[in-house]
Amino acid sequence: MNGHILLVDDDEKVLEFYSAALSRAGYRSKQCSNLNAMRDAISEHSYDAVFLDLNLGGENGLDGLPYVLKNAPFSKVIVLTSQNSVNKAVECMERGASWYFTKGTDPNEIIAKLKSLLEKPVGAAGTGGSDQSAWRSTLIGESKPILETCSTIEKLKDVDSTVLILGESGTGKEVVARAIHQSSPRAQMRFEAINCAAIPENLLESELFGHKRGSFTDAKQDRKGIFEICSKGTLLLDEIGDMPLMLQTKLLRVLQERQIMPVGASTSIPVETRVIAATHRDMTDEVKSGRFREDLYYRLNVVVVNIPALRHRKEDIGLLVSYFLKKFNQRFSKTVKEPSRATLSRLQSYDWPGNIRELQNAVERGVVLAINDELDISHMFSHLNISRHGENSSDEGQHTFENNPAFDMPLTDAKQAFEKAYITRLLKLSHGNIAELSRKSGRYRADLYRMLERYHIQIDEFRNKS
Amino acid sequence: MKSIFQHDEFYQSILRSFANDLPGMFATLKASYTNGQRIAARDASHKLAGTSATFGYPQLARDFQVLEMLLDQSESTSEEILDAMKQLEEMINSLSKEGL
Repeated sequence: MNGHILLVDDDEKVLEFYSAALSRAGYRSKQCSNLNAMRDAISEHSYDAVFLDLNLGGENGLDGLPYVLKNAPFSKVIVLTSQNSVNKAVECMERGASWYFTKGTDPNEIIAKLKSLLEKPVGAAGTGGSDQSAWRSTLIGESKPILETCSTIEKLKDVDSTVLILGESGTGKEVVARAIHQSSPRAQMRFEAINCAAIPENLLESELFGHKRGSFTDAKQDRKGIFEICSKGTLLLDEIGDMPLMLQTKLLRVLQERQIMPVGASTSIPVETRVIAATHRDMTDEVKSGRFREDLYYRLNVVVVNIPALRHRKEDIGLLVSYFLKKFNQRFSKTVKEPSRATLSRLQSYDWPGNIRELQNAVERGVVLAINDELDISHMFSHLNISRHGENSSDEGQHTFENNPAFDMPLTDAKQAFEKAYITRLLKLSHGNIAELSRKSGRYRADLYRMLERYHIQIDEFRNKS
Repeated sequence: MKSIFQHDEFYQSILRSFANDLPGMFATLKASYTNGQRIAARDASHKLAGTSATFGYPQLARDFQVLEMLLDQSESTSEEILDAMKQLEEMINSLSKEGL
């Protein structure tokens, strides 16, 4: 693939058209129909370019331009609109767009321009070079554990070692991986992330290493894999602990030989990709149980970055709340005030098992539902069914475990017991709705299906109870 | 009236889907105007102008732009608007008959 493009247009047919045209030219794309969806997409992934329509129903696409320039400074913005106006084109370029096309322009012309824009090194287009200390602002916190994480990243900036990031779900493993990339000499090259748990096994090999035309039924043309796409850059293999054994063998070979073999190819291709792997799993357990190859584990385990769980750095909660408050005030055009000392104290007394992701969602709920611009703790904790005064109105919502029998079990058993109870509880609450379960737990569906199988949980039983 | 992409095999199925859906989308636009929702009709015209241009029908796109302009200007008479709609309807019918 040649790049990852974000398409922003309120017209489904236009989105489908450009998505198909880009795919034919070897680009991946994601579609968004409004500015909020665009902001969400940019906060989750990096894109090489954004195709932005100006008239998005009730929204002006140009209003989204500052967000893209600030949060995705390496993305090229191509305005694609039906407004055929020289003044508008000049305005868009002055405000930071890289190019302006009217709808109806031959897609081949648009793709040729896209290609030439992406070939220019970052900085050449006047967007400024990379600031190798800018990554620090992406890691919010001043606690000892997060400062230790930052110190490790700092030490890694001049070396090209493989890195293994360990941390619970929601702690920000991808943010740390991006920070490592941004602090490195590869900062101006591509960063790509792939979730090994979210892609079916039969597609993962092609996604990673690419394929040749005709190598399987749907392989209608040659396609580059993600290793080749970011050959000079950095690749995050997220949820590496969930990678199928067959692919673990192939990955090991790639790391050792620095060459990939696309599916159906007869010759290998040299790559210089830096690999960062991440997982929430206890990898020594995975190796011990035979689910993960020991040799690959040692190959990945060159430098380990441990990301602390939020409960181990509660002193950062205030800073994180301020950060998210600013973000969501801006997004929802609100002016919700900083939390009172009592509210902050309540937030700090909770253990946040879903970590920063859970806190972010709580602040978002708090901002959306705020009355008189005040954060209300009951809104923020509504997912736990905890009342304003702190009593837990549901036995299932307990967030302290001191009396839990799991404390008397070996750690691995206790973790599994918790995981099973956690999934079962959420399944009950969501009446077996896997999408809701995925949203609430912050895990991909593929990961959840694996857990259901592992713990012999029948999802239909929860659906019938609704 | 043929799309500039008519000879490109790749675009054939995408164009077919557009040609199939266009009469329905235009009928919705007309219904909005008939029900007094002039702004909704104008926005739909804008959207269809963009879609038509994207799919390689520049004449259709221009006619939708004219309709959008008429709907946007308060001094446009309903006769002018209905005339523009009639012209568009004929063009869409001919497009449907031609296939692509």
